[in-house]
Amino acid sequence: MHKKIMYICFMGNSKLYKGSLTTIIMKLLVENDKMYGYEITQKVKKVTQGELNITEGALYPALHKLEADGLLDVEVQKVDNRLRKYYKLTEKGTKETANLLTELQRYIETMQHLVNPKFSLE
Amino acid sequence: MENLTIEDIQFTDTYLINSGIKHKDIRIEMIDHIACDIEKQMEFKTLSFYDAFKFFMIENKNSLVNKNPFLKAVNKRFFKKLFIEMLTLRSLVIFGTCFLILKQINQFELFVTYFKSINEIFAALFATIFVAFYVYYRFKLRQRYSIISVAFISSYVVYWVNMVFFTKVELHSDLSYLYTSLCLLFVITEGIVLAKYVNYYKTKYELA
Repeated sequence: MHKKIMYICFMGNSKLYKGSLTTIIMKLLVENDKMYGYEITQKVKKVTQGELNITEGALYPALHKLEADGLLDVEVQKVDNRLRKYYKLTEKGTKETANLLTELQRYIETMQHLVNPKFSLE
Repeated sequence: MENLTIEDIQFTDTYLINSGIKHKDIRIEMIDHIACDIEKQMEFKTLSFYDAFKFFMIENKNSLVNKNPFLKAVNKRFFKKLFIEMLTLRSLVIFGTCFLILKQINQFELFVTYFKSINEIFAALFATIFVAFYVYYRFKLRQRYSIISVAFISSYVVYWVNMVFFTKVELHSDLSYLYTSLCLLFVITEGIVLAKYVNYYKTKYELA
């Protein structure tokens, strides 16, 4: 079966994922304490088995925005001859993640009712 | 996994600078991202650094050197911070002080002799604040950072908007004092935000 890879930044169906990008990032940070950009892209690719590929053009602006909103904190460390920027959730970010995940869960349930009403009645 | 050498990292850094990515804060993340991918390709496809670099750039250069998403995020971040700072009690005090000083300034012979109009006074004050912060920034930081460049460009725009506006309003009127005070508040607040970012970059990037 042909498997279509969806790029958050460029492909047509990406709009569905685009709105969830910050939730995806924050959920990963809840589970992993601190992460760097490339690590986030690889983790998402692995968890979704290649279905979702976050491009750097979409990821870094989203991370910068979360940092500006006070949801993420930054730590720069020297790793393997270069500087690496780690992101971790602030206290405000942790609370916000819980809210976003509840919202996303509700959204998924609503969509489930709409797309597959038979399934929801069972 | 084989790690890139200092020379490989330097090569990547120079390549990005030559591609127009002048700001260090943006380059740091790009270098790490590229290096991680190249190290992976070198391991799984047993490529040399230069071959892996070449393949990476063939595939990703366009999206990588497209700075718009980065600069858009930086712009938003800077102006949001500026807006919040402008709504503080300190800003109200700065604004009031500027207004009162400008209103009283004509009583001083020194100003009447040297400055023919309110916009000349504004230009002199603006230039002083601008130069002071530029010297502070150059003295404190060794590299160029995106937010700081945005701050300098926007304050320069405000300067020219103010200069054009002053040809339309009556000089030495309350309106001109109010407008000049607002412009001065904008520039001073920009300086305060800028100073905060200078410290942020110094501790997060240059002392890392």
